[in-house]
Amino acid sequence: MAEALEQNVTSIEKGEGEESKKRLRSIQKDQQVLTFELDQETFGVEILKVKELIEYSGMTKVPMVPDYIRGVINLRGSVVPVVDLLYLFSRRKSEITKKSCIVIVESLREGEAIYTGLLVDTVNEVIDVSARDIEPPPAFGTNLKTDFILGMAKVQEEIIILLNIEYLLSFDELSSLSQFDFHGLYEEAKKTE
Amino acid sequence: MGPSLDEEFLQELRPVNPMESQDVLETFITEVGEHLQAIENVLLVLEENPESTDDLNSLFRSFHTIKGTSEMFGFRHISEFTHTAETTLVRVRSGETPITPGLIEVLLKCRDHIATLMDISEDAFLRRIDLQGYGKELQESLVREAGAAPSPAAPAAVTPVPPKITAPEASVTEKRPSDWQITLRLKEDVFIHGLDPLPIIRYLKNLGTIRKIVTLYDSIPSAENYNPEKSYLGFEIDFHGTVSRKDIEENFEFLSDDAEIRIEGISAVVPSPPPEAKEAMEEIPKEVQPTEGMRIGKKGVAASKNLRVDSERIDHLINLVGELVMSGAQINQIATVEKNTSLAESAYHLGRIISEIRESTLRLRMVPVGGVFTRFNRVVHDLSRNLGKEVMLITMGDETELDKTVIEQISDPLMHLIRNSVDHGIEETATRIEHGKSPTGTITLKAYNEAGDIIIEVVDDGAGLDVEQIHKKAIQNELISPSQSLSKKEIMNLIFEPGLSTAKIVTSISGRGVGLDVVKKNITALNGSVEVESEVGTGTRFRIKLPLTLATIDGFLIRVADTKYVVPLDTIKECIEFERKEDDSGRRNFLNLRGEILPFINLKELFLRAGKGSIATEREYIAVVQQSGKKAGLLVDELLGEMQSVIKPLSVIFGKINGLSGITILGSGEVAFILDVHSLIDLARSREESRFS
Repeated sequence: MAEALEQNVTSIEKGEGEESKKRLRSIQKDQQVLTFELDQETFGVEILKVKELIEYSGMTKVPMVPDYIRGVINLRGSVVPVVDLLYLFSRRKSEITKKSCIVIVESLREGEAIYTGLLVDTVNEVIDVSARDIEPPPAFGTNLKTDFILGMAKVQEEIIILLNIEYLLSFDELSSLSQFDFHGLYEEAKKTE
Repeated sequence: MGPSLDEEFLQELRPVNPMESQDVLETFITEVGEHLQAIENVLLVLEENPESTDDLNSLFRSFHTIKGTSEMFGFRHISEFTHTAETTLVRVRSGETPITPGLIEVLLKCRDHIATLMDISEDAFLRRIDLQGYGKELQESLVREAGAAPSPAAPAAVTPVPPKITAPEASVTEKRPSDWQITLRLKEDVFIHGLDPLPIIRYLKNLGTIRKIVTLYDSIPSAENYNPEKSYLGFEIDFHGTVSRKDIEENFEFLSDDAEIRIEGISAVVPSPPPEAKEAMEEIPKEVQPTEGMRIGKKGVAASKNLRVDSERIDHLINLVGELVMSGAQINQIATVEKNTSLAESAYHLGRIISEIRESTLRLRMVPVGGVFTRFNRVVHDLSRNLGKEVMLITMGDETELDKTVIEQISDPLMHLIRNSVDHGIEETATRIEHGKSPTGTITLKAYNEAGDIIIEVVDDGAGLDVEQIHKKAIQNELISPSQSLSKKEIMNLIFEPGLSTAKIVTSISGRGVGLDVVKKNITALNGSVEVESEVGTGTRFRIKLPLTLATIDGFLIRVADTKYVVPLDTIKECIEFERKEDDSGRRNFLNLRGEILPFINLKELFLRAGKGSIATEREYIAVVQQSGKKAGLLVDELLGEMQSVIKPLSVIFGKINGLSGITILGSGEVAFILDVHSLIDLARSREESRFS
């Protein structure tokens, strides 16, 4: 599965339409999905990617990293970064409520498993999704970068966006953002002065 | 008579395919590596003391084991090459040839060659031809060197085994053809011991021609007593080749425990062998006693006290134990709050056990430094020979233990220092005699524990550093100003500065300092430090201080807003309370430190992008830090004091964050960031510059 996904990621990067159909076929299998809410929308990740769920109980801010990284937490001795999905999707910071949760997911990077926390508004449930209920993302309308989406799952009357964790956390593109933004800082400083 | 095994069938009996099992192959490579190291050590000892029979024997055994195992694993090119060296050693051992410096030199080169062969053994089949070419050359010079000391009985034993694979028939016409009758009776347990006799029989073809093999099956028991895991067979081999009895014997040496072997020379073709053959028959029973080398091959794994463990597993264990320490502390805390005496007692007991577990877990990563030290014997040997100097290396404290990662990374800087000492420290032999010193220079490599740190010293009794010259050069290169008054020690330690290393310092210390800045950088990267002391004419002492383990850092904990940071303790000069003037706009980031103008970095502004001029209402402090000659203050909200912490790398997703060198978890479970003072100062500077560009 992971390999298949990785292949798909590459093909998406190449922008081959035919390939993305292939990707869809490969995810069109019966699977279990953990669903969670983010700004009143329901998203899902395949349960095999999920390592654990933890209640939000504060975290340490990391200096000089982009805003989509909310901070780091101490997960039994390992320092795990937490990504604010809402910020990544819509440039708005997630509100922390009593229901806020961190979903620890595993992704592969250069063959090694790395753990990342996803900050979500609330975790719902684990559901079974059958292959025939999964459809490709629409050309537009989700308000999300299409690469972030693996597929759309129709569950009862609801539509759940299945996230492409491998792509989402393939930080090649994202970590280039982590370079310190001198210019931005200067502008900001000018405003306040 | 049983069915005979024909040539074609023998052809199919391949030795163990090296790619078959990665694990077995790795064990093989490690084992050969150990023997190669042993060979090197022993040769260097023999150079000093050629009379040592013990060393000679162990040298022989090492070559012998390498030959045997590489053959078993199908690396024939290695076993073939090693064979010649081994043969030469047989002669040395029997006293036919003296061990000369020249011979040792060639044997060292042979050892290197085997190492090269090992390195590429995985794709060896492609490059084999070239390697064999060089191997041949060395084999010839072995014969030349050993032949230089003439001995009457030499020729038969020294002749390198020609690779007969190409034309076995040709050997029939050679001068001393010989026919042999070999009887091999396998013991029942041979398979249980993991030995496959067929490749060994097959190898015989390299020595000559197998004319006929007859299987002896007379000891096969009746069907009800037959055990399929046991061997009941024997072979009678009709063999033809220009070899000595010993060669054949050696071929079967691996089977000597598990088979009865009889080798008879047949006198029909050769006029001389009968007495030799007769003698052979009598000698075999005692000659095929197992040697030490063989024991290593077969029982080494079971007998070894050491366990090879993936270092990742240990790291994981260490992480878990760190976690355990924290949980233990929490329980202790609860017990105190709840005022539950019996719980507090148990928690205290638990805490003690946990801290013991922690200590012994950390020790798992510790490795004696001796392994690295022995490597330098060779370096000193080769280098001093090249330079025509006499240098002796003495190592002390080989058993001192260091973290494995530290050991791996200290090797290069040490190598550099030792080369430096041989090259520039130790004088020419003539000069030494002139100065009334012993003609042989001494370099001492010493490791010991000191107050929780490991000290490694490289001491030479050479010319020493010329303080005057360094001072002059430093001024010339604008490293220091002429007015600066520096102690002798401070001047000497300037040789680690990059400015001095680019140019050569004249005369006696020429080149001393080339690359020393790199040495210092590498050692600093390990959280260590290095300094030099020297006396002109007496010698130089480099003193490297390393932390016991890479995993921890002595730091000073500070707080900026909600986040805690660790500043490496050795960069902190002092801490002061920061008082802003009433009308301070917060725009000026410098202060007057006892007459010195000290720029400071407002960490809150830098890290949290707080706007310029946001003046804190609470008390603020300045931590004065200095690294690589750069000095600055850090404006922080709170000083929390010294602490020791475990360093964890920044997560992959962060890549490199300027100003931070790692992450750590505090005793409370909080995450804190380790500041990289050097890059922090650079960051602040470039930030300010960018405002005006």
